[in-house]
Amino acid sequence: MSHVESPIRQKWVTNTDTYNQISRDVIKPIESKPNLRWLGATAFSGLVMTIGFALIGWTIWEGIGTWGLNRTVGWAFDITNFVFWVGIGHAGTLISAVLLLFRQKWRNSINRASEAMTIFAVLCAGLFPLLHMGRPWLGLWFLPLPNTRGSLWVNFNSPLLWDVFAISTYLTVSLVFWYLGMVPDFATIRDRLKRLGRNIASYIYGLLAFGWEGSSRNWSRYEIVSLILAGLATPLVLSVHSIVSMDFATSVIPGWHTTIFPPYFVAGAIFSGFGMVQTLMVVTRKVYKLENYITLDHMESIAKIVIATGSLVGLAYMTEFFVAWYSGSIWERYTFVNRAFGPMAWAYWIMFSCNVITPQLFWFRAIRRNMVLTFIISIFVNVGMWFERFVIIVTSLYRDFLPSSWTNYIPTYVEIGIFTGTLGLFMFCYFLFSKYLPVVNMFEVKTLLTHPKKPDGLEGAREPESVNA
Amino acid sequence: MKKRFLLGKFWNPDDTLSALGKLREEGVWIHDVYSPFPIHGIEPYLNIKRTRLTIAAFIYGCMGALTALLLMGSIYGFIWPMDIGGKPSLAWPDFVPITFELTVLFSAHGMVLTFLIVGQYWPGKKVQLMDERQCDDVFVVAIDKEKIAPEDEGRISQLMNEHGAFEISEKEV
Amino acid sequence: MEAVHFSPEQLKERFTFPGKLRNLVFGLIGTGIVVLILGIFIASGTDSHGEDTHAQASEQVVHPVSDTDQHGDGHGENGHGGHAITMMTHLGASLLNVSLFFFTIAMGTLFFLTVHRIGNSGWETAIRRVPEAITTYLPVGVVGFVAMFVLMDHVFEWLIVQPGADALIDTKRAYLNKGFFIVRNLVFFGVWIGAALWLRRLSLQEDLKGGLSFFNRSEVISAVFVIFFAISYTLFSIDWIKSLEPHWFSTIFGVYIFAGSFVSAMVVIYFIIVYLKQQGYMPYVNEAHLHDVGKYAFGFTVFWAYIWVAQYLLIWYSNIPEEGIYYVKRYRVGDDAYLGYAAFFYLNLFLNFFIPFFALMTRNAKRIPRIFIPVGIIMLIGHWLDLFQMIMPGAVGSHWAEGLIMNLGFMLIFGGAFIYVVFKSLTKANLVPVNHPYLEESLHHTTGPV
Repeated sequence: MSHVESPIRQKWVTNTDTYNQISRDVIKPIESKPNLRWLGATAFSGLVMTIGFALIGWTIWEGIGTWGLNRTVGWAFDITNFVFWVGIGHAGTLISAVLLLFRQKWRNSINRASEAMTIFAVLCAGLFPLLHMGRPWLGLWFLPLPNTRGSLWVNFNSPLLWDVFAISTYLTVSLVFWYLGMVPDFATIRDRLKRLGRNIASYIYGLLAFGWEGSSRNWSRYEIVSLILAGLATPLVLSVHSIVSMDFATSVIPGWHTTIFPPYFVAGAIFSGFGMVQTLMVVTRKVYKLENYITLDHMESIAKIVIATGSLVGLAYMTEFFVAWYSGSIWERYTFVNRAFGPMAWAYWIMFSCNVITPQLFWFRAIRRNMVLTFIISIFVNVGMWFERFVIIVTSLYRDFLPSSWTNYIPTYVEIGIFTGTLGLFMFCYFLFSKYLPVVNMFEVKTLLTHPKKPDGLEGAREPESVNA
Repeated sequence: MKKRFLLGKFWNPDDTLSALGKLREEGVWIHDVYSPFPIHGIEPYLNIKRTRLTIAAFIYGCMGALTALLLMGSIYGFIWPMDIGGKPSLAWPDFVPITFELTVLFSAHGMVLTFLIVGQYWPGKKVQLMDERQCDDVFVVAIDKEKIAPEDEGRISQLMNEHGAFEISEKEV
Repeated sequence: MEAVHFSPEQLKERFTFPGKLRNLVFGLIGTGIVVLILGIFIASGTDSHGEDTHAQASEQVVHPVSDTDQHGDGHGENGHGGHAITMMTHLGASLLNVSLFFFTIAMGTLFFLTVHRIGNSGWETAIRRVPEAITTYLPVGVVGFVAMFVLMDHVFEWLIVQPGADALIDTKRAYLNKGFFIVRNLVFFGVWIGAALWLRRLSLQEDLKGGLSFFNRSEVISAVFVIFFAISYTLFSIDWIKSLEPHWFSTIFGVYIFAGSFVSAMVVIYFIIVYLKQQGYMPYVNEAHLHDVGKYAFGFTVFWAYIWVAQYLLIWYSNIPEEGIYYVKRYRVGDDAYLGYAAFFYLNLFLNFFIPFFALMTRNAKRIPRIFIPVGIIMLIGHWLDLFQMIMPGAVGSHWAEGLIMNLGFMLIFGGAFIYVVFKSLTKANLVPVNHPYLEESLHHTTGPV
């Protein structure tokens, strides 16, 4: 927001010199017909999603006995997926809210897509606890509603109920934030489609635009609302994953009950979310030809956040391990030794190497700017963060306090199918979004254009005395 | 009620701001400026006061906190006390997460709703654009013709032209 | 709207140490020494006839080892009564409290500097010399810890309890032993001070020579420092504070200490800027800079509360005796000897969260020093109290009141030294890094609408 930019700063918008060009580039996929590649990808993800939903139907019909859960390991694949998806969601809010508060200009072109990612991820996440209840049609009992069941109320002392409040607040506030950000862009699309003579499409986007006109009086309010929303979303995003972590940490199970869980889960969530942002952005910028707005410098900044949060996660692993030893508690010590060297050690080391070691490659500038390697590393991050939750959940449960209850956990095809189904759902939503909604925040990117050129076709115009210094 | 506006159209925010500065010195009342993105530092030229939405957000937040505390307090204090793990029924540390969430929920949605109502936004609202490109790449300075003397019109147009307006026009809205 | 331009002469201004400030420093240190001696005298007095007033209390809680009975597996009783609280214990505990107070502030500013460098932030360039000057306190602050190496035998339970007497402590002796303790802490101090002085030297050289090479080098140093800081600060907090109650453990502890450090660092930076501006320096630092520092103070107050809740809620909820004992000591109601801690427990929350949260919420509170400064003073007292209530139950049990005068004495001495070192460092260079590539940005800094 300062008026002066240091000459050594990188330009966040390249090869673009008119505002109109930004609109044209971003609206292009919306105004053009869907191409085969897009149709194919959407159909494929739709198919995967449908299989997932079929298996969800099977689960509801038959009961969660179709899953591989047992008495000792009562939480496994489903809760892993839940935490995995909620975590993915966090990067979107971090980019749109926290980086806005920190005045990081590079957020302007990636915030839209990552917020969309947040919403789709939280949708996927919400499915799992609902299914795990076994009777999802009773999901309404989660709400503190007056009722006729002997005035039986929800348990406000339960972290699982806190989750209900946290996730629903998070989902709705993110939705509002995302939508509000798109309102001015919808107006741009409305007017552009109108000029192109596509009245029906223009009408639809006009409905979405809520009558936005771009009046400065409204902009002034709009900006403050965005900043306050960002200020609210920042502690919200911290609270959501903290509360998710409390599902585990309020228990007395070694490996779950540790006070660092809230900030550690938040760091992990941001890490996994940025991993997913990398995966999506590498592809999106290429496919939609948005390299001028999502530049290599953007990808570098994302990579730097991945190292930072990856290292924080590593710090948390080490702190946990050290304090487990330091605590002198035999249960704690056993759990951690068992994690790293027990029968599930493979999962632990997948987690450790993907989350702590691979991101360290981003210390090299050449790797940060290499999109193929970035893509591969980001996949590693996604895999590693899924395994992190799996390790936390399963390896803390499968060695019970009673050795006679020790057991193993093997997922069934139903669980795996539902998980891939949510991957399909996520991608399906993302494909729809990238085709019909503006993938890049146009009006915020326009503010980054410091030396615009005069557009063609403006009659009677003259060169200005000064373009800002 | 329709009004006629004198419109000065610019193609970048800096020219717009310098023109506004000049108009302001001349004492011209500016109805509004329409731009594709927010222009920083424009508020004083349009006599825009600081919005009180922040205060509204704070009040909504307090309402949320109060709702949460009353809800949990009344249910666990009077309606349905529960002994869980030997802890007191009114266990304040347990109320922190939900209180926080409802504070944010009320504050965020309350503020956005207020914003939509105050700014009169709703789906299907009819827009009356000063220029068809004002949401794309044109910056429009709109001056209410009733508020300026007819003889000044030429001077004002001249002034905006000097500061980089590429078009001066009139529109009834 | 147009920003004022500043001539190179204005930017090259230097701070001269005012005589008034010098008198204040000597006054503080002088009074501090007198108060300290008085405190020692009084504490030794109570020490000699301690039985009458504290006989009963010391029966139950001679020492923090009181929690050992919770383990109940035999090692507990042996630890009892191994140690009486002497004047030296109070001296050490107070010294530790005060050393940590100032040292954590300086570490907070060092973190501020490095993390802004990595984040390529520009706005703070104009005020950068202030945190830089505060980091020069680090080598001086280490003196307190070196003195603690001598006094720690009287303060740390794991040094007082003989090996073999407490099985739980014995399992930790590979980490908690004096030799390793001193070595690793000396390494931490060495690296932190090295990084701080190196960064400052680069910054000062940049003033003379210009060019981007110093700027670029500081980025690498900052990145490596932050990684090292994260690990070492966690261990540092475990060593100096958590190990006072060696039976207790909490993984979040390092983050908690960090949160407190950062908040108070922001408050101190704010204070020094306001003082310099009052003296007529730094005309180019405007409300926007203060606003941003204030925002940090506000935001990290919330962060501190978040970490506080995370630790408290989880321990309270699980109700595991080994962990819960930490808070039981801090708000044991009914045991008069611990009544003070119960008051501190709640007061701590008010000073560090509720008061600053509501007071600093508005935009003006962060921009107008007249509002910010009283709140800032409360926050600094809160930081001191936070450390106090973390240290004392473990170090001196219920006898917290006896060391208060010594604590005050140390506060005055270290406070005087802190002011002297920081302002002396400010005189040694321009008040602004004149060749910093982001300086222009910072001089034109505005914070926008909120």
